[in-house]
Amino acid sequence: MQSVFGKYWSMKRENLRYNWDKARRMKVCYLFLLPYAVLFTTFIILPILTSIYYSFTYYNILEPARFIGFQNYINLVLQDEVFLTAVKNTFVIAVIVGPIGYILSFLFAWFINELPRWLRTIAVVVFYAPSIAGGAYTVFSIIFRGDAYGYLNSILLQFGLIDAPYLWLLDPKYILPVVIIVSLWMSMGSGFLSFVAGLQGVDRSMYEAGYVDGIRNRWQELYFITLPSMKPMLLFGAVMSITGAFNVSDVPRALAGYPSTDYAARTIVTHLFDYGFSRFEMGYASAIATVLFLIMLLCNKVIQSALRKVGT
Amino acid sequence: MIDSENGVTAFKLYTSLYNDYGLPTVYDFVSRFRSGEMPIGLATYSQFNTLSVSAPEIRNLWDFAPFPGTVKADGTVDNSVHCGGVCCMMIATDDENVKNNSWEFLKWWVSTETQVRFGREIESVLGSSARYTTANTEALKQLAWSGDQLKVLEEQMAKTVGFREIAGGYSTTRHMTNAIRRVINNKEDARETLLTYARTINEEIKVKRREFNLPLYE
Repeated sequence: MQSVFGKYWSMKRENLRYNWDKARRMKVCYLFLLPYAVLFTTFIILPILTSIYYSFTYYNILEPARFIGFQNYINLVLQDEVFLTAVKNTFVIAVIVGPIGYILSFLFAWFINELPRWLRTIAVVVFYAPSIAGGAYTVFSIIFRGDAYGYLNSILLQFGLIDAPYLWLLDPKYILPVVIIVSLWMSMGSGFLSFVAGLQGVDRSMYEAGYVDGIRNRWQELYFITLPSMKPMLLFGAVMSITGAFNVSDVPRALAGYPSTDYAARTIVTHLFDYGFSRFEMGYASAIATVLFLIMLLCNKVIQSALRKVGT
Repeated sequence: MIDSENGVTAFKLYTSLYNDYGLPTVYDFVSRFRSGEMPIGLATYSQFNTLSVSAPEIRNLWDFAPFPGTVKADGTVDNSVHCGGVCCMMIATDDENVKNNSWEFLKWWVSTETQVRFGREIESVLGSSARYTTANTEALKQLAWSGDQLKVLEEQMAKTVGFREIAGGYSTTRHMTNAIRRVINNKEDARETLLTYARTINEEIKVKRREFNLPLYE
């Protein structure tokens, strides 16, 4: 027994020494990595660690941080009802916009794959434009405005479908559906581009081989050939849409105002904004951020393990 | 204080304007005023800036007057309004020099001549759209308001009431808006809604006051 353990650790030490020597010989490669590593550490790793640190303290910016342990987390989970509404809203938006947006992106990419090249380019620009033009969803705040002259209200009034303007963005009943619709519209993002590129890169000969082997229609071809060849793209698109769906806060904030009526459009990130920037309870806000980070990690792992099985 | 009898009556009156008389809830005052659809409106006097620049076609055809009010028991009209404002804040430190300097700076900034100079210079650069809404009443007299307009402004300023900001004050505005919207959207009872939300407001204020060790009274 002793010798087995001894051998294991000595092997580990050998490995470590070997890798260290290799690293020292290839110093230049690490120098190439340095700019990206510095930026990544400063802008991603450090804020995450700082946020985790602050989540265990009580910190309003004017006084130094006071360590209070897990109190923030306990308050968050047990005492904050608005947080539960926020989680429910975020999950509703994420579950509807995430998968449906993902499937829609893929379907649109698949449909326009057939078009001639110039038409496909135009279609890609048309679909991707809302994501490039950053704040394009604010046009929906005009369309859905509760004014009698807001576009949707005035069209409905003109056709006699309603008799008084509906307050689409101020009535708790309608806020969430409106936000979901706008988020779906915005969901053709970088995932869509990666699908378009990936579909171009699929090997044509595999389709012919598949038809010889007995694939009968387009749907089977999609499931057995196209999807497995695009697995890296699928994973990337899934990661982007999951993080995007959980991070949804710009759209509710721009449309439904901040804070939204009766907290109907409160998502986790707007809740964080509220505690961080209106109430200046930075410790609590950091706790919310850490919880969101853990939820996203977990969902990512689940989705990735599910996607590894596609097509097999 | 919101849940006192006066508060409930006021809330009922306010929501009945929208529910019973059908006043529009969301509207763009400037556009409707220009087109003549709303010949009269209640707005803050900073709208003067917007209107004077964006509605040149109705220049000299409109003016502003004191707020309409309710008739009091002795026959006079009570037209007090509330106002919002921007404050300057000094953060306490132990350094005497820094404290003195910041106090001198604040005294200089809110003094009449500085405010007048700022108001006049900004109006000369940006035109009458940038008429500075100063809080210094002496400075207001010296900005470019005409004699009649100035009389109206002074008369209204004399009746203005400010709201005290308290710890957790954001909760009042937020939940009052929620209460108003609930009564307008769902046509619920004004008194019940107001009392429910008053309880929520009070709880949040209590939490905040406990956080800063301020005295609570029930």
